[in-house]
Amino acid sequence: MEKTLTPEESLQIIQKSISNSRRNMREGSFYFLLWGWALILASLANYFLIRYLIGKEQYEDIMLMSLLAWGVFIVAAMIIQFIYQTRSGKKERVITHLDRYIKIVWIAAGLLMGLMAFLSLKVNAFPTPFILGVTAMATAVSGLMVRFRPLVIGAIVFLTAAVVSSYLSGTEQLLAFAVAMVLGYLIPGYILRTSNSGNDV
Amino acid sequence: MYKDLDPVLHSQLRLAVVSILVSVEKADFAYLKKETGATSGNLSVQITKLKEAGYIEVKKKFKGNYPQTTCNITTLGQERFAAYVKAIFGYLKPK
Repeated sequence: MEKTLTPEESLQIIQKSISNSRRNMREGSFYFLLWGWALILASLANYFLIRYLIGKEQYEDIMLMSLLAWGVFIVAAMIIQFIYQTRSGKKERVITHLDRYIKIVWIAAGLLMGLMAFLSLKVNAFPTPFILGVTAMATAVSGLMVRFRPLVIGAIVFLTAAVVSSYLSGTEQLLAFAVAMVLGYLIPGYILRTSNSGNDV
Repeated sequence: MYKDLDPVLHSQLRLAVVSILVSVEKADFAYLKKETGATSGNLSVQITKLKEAGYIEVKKKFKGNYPQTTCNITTLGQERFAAYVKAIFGYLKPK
């Protein structure tokens, strides 16, 4: 038979349980580092491919090879993410309200990025500034929701890069994109990962 | 004593489980076990009681090769928890 709780004991149980259910911020760093590196490698691969193809005067291959460069790294990152998520099934898991909101924001942002890429190519524009704009929004929402300043600064970097890259040539935009990714994803990602407290928020 | 307190929630482990679930979207069995420090057997029994009362939902599935039991609170559970907390504060008020 269980012992009868006093109201004070009940309150203690509630307080203890609620304060323990905090989000593990460090886990989020995996996604920023994975996608940061994948997108940096994709944009650099695309940059050097374009320069190589221009050198060889194979202009007609540029579009296809560019799509291929992005496709390879994006698919690779998706596979790594899938394996990571399946493996983490072993561990105990909790999904906070915040986790769910952030996931929804990034799924919407991902779809919007695909749409931006499609629409910009359709009107013969380079997609980079548009994609950077969407990235800025999703990064800002994540950073503000978890109250993590490096991500908010990262969002400002993405916003600035979106405007700056619109003045650059298509190939230069790829370099601006890579630099923005280092500042907006990698630096906050590494700060998150090395922070001693696993439960920041 | 404390007769108007919801008997489903007025139990150490069930109250802990509901308090955790009220503050998250969903949590699995292993997480609840770790956070409450309960034994698997006891936790399993209490989760079943909460489920039968309609306070929580329990979903069983496989993640990779591992069975995963995920729990989340229902609207009824949230309402009863709020009512329970209110009742508790009623007792704590200085007379």
